[in-house]
Amino acid sequence: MKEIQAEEILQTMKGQVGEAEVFETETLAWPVSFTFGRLESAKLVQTRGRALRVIRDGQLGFASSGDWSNAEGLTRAALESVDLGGPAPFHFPAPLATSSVQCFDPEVEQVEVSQMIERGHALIDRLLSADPALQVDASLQKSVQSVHLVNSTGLDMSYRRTSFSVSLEVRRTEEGDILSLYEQSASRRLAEVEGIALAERILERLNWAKTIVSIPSGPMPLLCVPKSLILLLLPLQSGLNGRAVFRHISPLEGKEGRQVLDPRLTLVDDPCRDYAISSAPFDDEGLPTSPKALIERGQLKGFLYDLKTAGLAGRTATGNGFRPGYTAPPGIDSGNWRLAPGDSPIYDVLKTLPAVLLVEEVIGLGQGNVEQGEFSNNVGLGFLLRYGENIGRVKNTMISGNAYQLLQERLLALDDRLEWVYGSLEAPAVLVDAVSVTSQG
Amino acid sequence: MKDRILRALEKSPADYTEIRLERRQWTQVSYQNEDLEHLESSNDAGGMVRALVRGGWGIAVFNQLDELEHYVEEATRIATAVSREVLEPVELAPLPPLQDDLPASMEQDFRAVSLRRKQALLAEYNDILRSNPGRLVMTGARYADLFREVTFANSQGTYLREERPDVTFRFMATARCGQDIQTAFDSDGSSAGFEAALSREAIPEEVARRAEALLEAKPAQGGVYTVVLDPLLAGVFIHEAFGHLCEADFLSKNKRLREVLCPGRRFGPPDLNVIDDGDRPGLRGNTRYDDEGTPRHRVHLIRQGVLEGFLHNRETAKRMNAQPTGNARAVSYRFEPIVRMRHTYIDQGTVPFSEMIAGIPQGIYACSAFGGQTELEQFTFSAGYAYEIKDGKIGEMLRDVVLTGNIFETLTRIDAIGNDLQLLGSAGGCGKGGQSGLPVTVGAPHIRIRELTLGGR
Repeated sequence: MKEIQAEEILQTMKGQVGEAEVFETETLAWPVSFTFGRLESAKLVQTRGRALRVIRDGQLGFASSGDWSNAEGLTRAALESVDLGGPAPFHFPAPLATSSVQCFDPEVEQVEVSQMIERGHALIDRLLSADPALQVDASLQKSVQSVHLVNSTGLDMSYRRTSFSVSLEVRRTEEGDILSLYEQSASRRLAEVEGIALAERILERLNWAKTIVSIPSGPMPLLCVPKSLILLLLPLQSGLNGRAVFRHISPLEGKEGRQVLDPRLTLVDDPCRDYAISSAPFDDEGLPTSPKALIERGQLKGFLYDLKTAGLAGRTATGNGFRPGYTAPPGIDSGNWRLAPGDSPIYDVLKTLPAVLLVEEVIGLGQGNVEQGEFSNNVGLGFLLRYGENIGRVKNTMISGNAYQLLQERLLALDDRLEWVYGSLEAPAVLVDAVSVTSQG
Repeated sequence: MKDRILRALEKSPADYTEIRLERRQWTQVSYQNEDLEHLESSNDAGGMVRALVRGGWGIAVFNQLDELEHYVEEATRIATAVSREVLEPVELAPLPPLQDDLPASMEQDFRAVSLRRKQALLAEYNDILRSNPGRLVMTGARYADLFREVTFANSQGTYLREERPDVTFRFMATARCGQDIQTAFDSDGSSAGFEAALSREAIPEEVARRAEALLEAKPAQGGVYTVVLDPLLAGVFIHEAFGHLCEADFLSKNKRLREVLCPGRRFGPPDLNVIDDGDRPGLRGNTRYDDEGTPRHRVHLIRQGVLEGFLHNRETAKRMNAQPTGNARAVSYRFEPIVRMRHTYIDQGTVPFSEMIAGIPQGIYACSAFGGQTELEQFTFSAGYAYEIKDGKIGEMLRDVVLTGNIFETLTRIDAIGNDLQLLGSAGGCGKGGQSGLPVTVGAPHIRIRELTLGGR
């Protein structure tokens, strides 16, 4: 079986279509997983694949394949799909200078599976030494990926990226109560991935959770730590997506330059931060990535676009055309997000408040009318703070509200300290007022 | 290719080695409202090597078929690292070596049907779905086919090749009146050719009609009722609430459940038979062999009301001193085989539907499953739609019917099993352990359950 190169495919397509683009990735990943504190499996997962996009008479065709010996099947599928395909209001880009961002760490490449198993055991041992009854699931994964993109306009670019992640899920089952905690750390650089600190944080939360307190129903200030801030950021992720704007389901449509959030809030999309998980020197369509302020002191600065949506909407692509894998066409995705900090410790405000609900984890994220900013979630892990002091865990509690309204009208404070979570978000803790809390005791 | 596979197996130093290769070819067409939303024709090929070294599994997944020996080495290397940490060494139940080659049975091979033809067919169905817009605010239609060619070989002398076609379609309609939004959907699927997608006009028509009708339906009142389940809801119910409990990999991790699920114990009336069938050609998810090369056996989970067997792979069969049943399944070459259901159903009874509802002064006729959740023996299911039963007759349409209870108590309250068994291959498939969309078939005749709790929403 002879392998066909991407350049040969472009040659073949010449004359048959106006423009063509080949996207290729090869990934080697080593996932190691533990369940109930025991090693369950270790794997090597190799994936290589390519996608072909073609434009003919203003129509777009797409096909993908993991079989590199069968280039003919790929080109035939792309031609069949361009016949029926939707509009292609754009051109594949000419080469541009890419941004310089570090995405590859040789140390990740060198970690052995046996070392990952050892790391997993160390985390589990630390947790079980504190409480042997804990049910601990752990997973560690390293991956090394190469990305190659060529198109008929002369663009030919490639880069390699690594990633390493550790996640822990711990359950404590007691009569009539199941407590579940989750911690995760990820980076493209091995040295930035947390190890035993994840276990220590879980033990600290377990300790806090020993006392269960009841919480009254009604409006109450809500403190989101960076880990749970996704509750409030998810609607923004949807609303700042150019596709939502184009389809008229973003409440931010037509509000560029206007004050849409509290003036203390500045949000930057930054796919250029060294070693962050959502970093890349160019997007999966070949446009250079760049940091962009989306919200500046509460003012809406712009939306994120890929080539196709930008073309449909008459906007400029922002270098945010990313693919979840080679099998799907590019769509709009954000890079790493950075929310600017406040200028004084949040504790200064917390210590004046008699009751604040601190939420660390929520259940059922993404349900309900996210586009409009609505959320209604069970609190997976939450604590009641009295004058800034943690007095115990709350159970059977629902929170609901509207993220846009909370971030516009009810922002109480931002912490002056930033935290880096999930390898792709840097943010302070955020305190908002009058979130609706429903508790069954 | 066969030579390469056999050579790679021969060279493997592991205690046990298996190679599973797969070629996949699929097309998908979908409409949202009147717009063509997605059109795709793709293929993929890859494989998995599993190597067992001193009771530890090592796994390599790849989509470069020409480096087989390299991945056998990698899997063995990982297995060796794992074996040093294994507390309970894995052993496999014995299986005689098998050789077989099974081509697909399709009247009209969907691989030879053009994407344009598939799009045209779905466009026709979509027009039917939207032909009477009324208060419809959103509709969706989707056609998908997938052709899998799976080759399985192991170091114990088994070599199998099997072709597995799968055709599905799904329709959805949402109707709105003020703040009230109601959704109806239906789907079907088969292990067959393009013929299975033809002449299905009745489904989109019914989905559109039902979404509209649900706007007029009364919300059901919470309470305890005699409930009749239609074959689809009864089938989904037995799959979700009972079938998953009988999967031996789950069972072996759960001590409390093992104490409850004692073979020989009575769980339902004497005419209750629950079966997980292996090989029934044409049904969605059908194959002759599972993904460990075990021929699929028919398993009676419940025979005449009494618990009989569980679903096994080779590993759980060895651990629980049972026979492997052919339930080791993987959604693709990227995943290892785990214990899964196949065609799971409540077997035919004797009671005609008219007789089943005749004696009910006030009850509920619940149809189609909208979704559900189970947490060990507790279940919660939403019916897609329902009707009230009054004085033995079907009455007005109801909605917001949520059934909840304890599976073991509920099985004992089944007091009538119909004579109208249907086997249904829904488009969604089953999800477990990160492997979702596994083709399965569910089924049952109508069944009647006394004292079932209906939750108010």
